[in-house]
Amino acid sequence: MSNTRIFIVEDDKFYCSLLDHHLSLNPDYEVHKFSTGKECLTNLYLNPDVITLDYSLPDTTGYDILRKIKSNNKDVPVIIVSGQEDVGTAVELLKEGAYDYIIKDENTHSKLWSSLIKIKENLVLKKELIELREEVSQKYTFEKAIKGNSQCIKKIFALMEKAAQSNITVSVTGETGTGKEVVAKAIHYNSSRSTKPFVAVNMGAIPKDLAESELFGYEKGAFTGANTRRVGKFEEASQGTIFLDEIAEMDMNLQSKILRVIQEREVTRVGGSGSVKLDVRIIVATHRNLLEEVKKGNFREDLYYRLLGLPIELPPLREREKDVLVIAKYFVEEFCKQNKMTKKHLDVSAQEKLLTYSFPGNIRELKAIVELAVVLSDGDEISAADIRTNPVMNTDNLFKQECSLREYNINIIKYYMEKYDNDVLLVAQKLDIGKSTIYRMIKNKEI
Amino acid sequence: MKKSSDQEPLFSTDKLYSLSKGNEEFVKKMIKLFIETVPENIKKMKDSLDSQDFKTLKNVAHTMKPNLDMFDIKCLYLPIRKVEENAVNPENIDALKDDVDLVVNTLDKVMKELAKLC
Repeated sequence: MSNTRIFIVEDDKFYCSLLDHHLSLNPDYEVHKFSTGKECLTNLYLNPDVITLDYSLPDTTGYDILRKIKSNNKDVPVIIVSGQEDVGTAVELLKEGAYDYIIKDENTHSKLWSSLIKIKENLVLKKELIELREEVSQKYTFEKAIKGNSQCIKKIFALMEKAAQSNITVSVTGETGTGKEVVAKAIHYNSSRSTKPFVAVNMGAIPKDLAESELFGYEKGAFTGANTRRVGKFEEASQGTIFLDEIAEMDMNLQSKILRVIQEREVTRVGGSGSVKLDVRIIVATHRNLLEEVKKGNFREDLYYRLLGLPIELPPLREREKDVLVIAKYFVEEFCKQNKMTKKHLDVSAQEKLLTYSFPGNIRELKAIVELAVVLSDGDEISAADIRTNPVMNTDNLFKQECSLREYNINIIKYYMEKYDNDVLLVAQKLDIGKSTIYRMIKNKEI
Repeated sequence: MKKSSDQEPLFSTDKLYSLSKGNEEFVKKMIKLFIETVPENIKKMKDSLDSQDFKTLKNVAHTMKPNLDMFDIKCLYLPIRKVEENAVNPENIDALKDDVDLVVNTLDKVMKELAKLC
């Protein structure tokens, strides 16, 4: 980390020199001295990391300069160093945003030193957080987050682009494993809120009794065990995005409370009397058909229309043309990288097998299948034998394309051969056909 | 440690030595700075008392207080605080004047002694 730039604002030359000497003992501290509030304010462009501020300055009061510093940069820690041993003043200044209040006495220097160490630790953590957010943001550029170049996924990219450019509520639907959360994250990290928190909540996983306190927070003493105040997920996502996954799993009582939060854009903590204003972008997701749930009376109609916003319907993997291969190749590469294995490739037979499978578990299932295939394969090539699809599920694919009766026969025999580990006799018995039929097909490379 | 006529320590540079980890050059620099800045503050103190500008008097006392503590001038520990406190709303100006005189006279002696160390 670069030097910590510290402003000492102190009109007394003697005390200023003492502080300067003490702080300059640390070679990482770059100290700038100012004797008036005005001088300090005109030099704020230097972006100090910390300001130590004498409470009594000739040209201004501690309050006044603290407010001005905070209005310029609310994140800069300001340590008040004062001869004033008045608790009331200290409390007021801390309320005003001062980081610490240190009385000028013989321990001032060691207290200041400790305070600066804590601030430096915080600065390091903040810097790491910013770097990590940038890294995550890079990871979630649309093309990196969602692989594929099929027509249907290109349409999804276009919708995501529009969603990222505004604060509109987004409702993401799609089968399980289609990447609803990835889409939500990609929208967040490509929006103007990208440097603020992304908070994901699985509505189906929160116990009914805890849902309210989890989402809206609670005040100290609100219920047995509420020993401290806690902010809820909505407040946690302040200025960022809250992602409410499995929204259809909410009960009616919670639905009405969520509706109020969305309408009023404010939350009231459990056990609290005042409300807290919210600036949060909402993205919801469900694998259910919400309109159907409304018709069945399981989901409030008013909430449905509030949440609908910009709907993004993610296609199942089986409808994404050759995206399955693009994604599979990506997973192979990533898995090899993570496990320090030599790069492997999907051979033609493996690719064909992946293209004919229906992937009821969508991308999540593809990932699992591909990772297993990498582990099972010998050498650099992954063949069809390494691709372990779920044979029961594969029947969905049987009628995916229109085929001739002969092609259907071949597909059925292929399916049974896979299911029964290429046991020709058993397959012949199950399908009530001659084993020679199967042998002939093998010889002709039909199966 | 310097002693006053009644053998009480008048001031001490121990805190400065401790703070600077025994850096004599720094201690001398701080003594010089103290000698440079105190007369100005003494003048302000006297002038503000004469003109009954108690706000300035309070501010000067407030500024001087930690510096006097740094030299461990024990006999001024209370008087400088009394000046700062009583200047807010002086009820007994004579008592305030006595305290100011004590501060001024003691500092005069301290500075003479300190000058010998440079």
